[in-house]
Amino acid sequence: MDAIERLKQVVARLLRAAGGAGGEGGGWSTPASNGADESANGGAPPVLTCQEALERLYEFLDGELPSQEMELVEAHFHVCSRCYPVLQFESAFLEVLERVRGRETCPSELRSRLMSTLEAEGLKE
Amino acid sequence: MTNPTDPDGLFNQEAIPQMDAVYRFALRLSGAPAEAEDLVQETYLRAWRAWEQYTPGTSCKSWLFTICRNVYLRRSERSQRHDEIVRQETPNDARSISAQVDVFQGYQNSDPEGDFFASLVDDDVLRAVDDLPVEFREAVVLSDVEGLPYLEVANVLGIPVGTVKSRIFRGRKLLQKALYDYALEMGYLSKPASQG
Repeated sequence: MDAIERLKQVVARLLRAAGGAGGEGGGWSTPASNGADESANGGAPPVLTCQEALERLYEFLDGELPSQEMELVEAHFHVCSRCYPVLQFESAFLEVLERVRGRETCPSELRSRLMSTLEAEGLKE
Repeated sequence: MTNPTDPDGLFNQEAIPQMDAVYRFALRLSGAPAEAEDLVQETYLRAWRAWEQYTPGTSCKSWLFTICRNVYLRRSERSQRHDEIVRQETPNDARSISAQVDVFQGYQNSDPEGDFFASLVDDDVLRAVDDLPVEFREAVVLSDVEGLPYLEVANVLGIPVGTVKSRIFRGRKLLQKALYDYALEMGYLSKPASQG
């Protein structure tokens, strides 16, 4: 699976989660640890601050973080109404770039010419 | 099923299907269809002649991109265009990039979900990509248009992964700003009150 497919799955999951939370009150809660001392988190699983999550945003969207970090970042975006719009914005941007991928294809004349050249160079179909 | 000892079969199976991707990359590098066609032609010729150097199981697409870029750079060096392009277009001053990126904060507020991106037509997006300085353009195209992971982008460009991340970050921010400015100019977005 390439990075774009992974991104689509993660963002779809987040959008579904946000749809549920946002529909009830126009927002959702931010973890108490955001911007605060994480030691206050006690024995609970680690959570990221907004800054830490946003610093990892592109690597998260590109599927380039280790799986544990992916989960931490995803968990942050699930519950942070301040960071979630940034995720939406960046996802919309990357979708446009993915969209243009199909816009340009190798001209058929070039393809034919190239195949002829390669066959002249010994390539067998 | 292709016989791994059959170079023709492997080339047909792995390299030929990448022709669209190589053409797109060549087009983004050169900015001109005729030159892109020459680049694709030379890339595939070189790839076929050096096919025994390709390692089956690795990314053939990245391997072809590497060859294509090397051909492009060699040609550009001959015409002394590449260095000029890099010197003239790349805002090496980090403050210059930061200043441009700071503008980005404003439109996140005016269109927090980035809906305006969907209103842009593909040609506008591609034009903005083509206007990026070459070092950012390469990174953004390989990562965001062609979907290569950072490590493969690093291999194609011959730079460390950390530099790839940095170029992708800066390239995306510059591109977002260009697209935002264009959307404002075309009336896809209304100018935020704070800016005007």
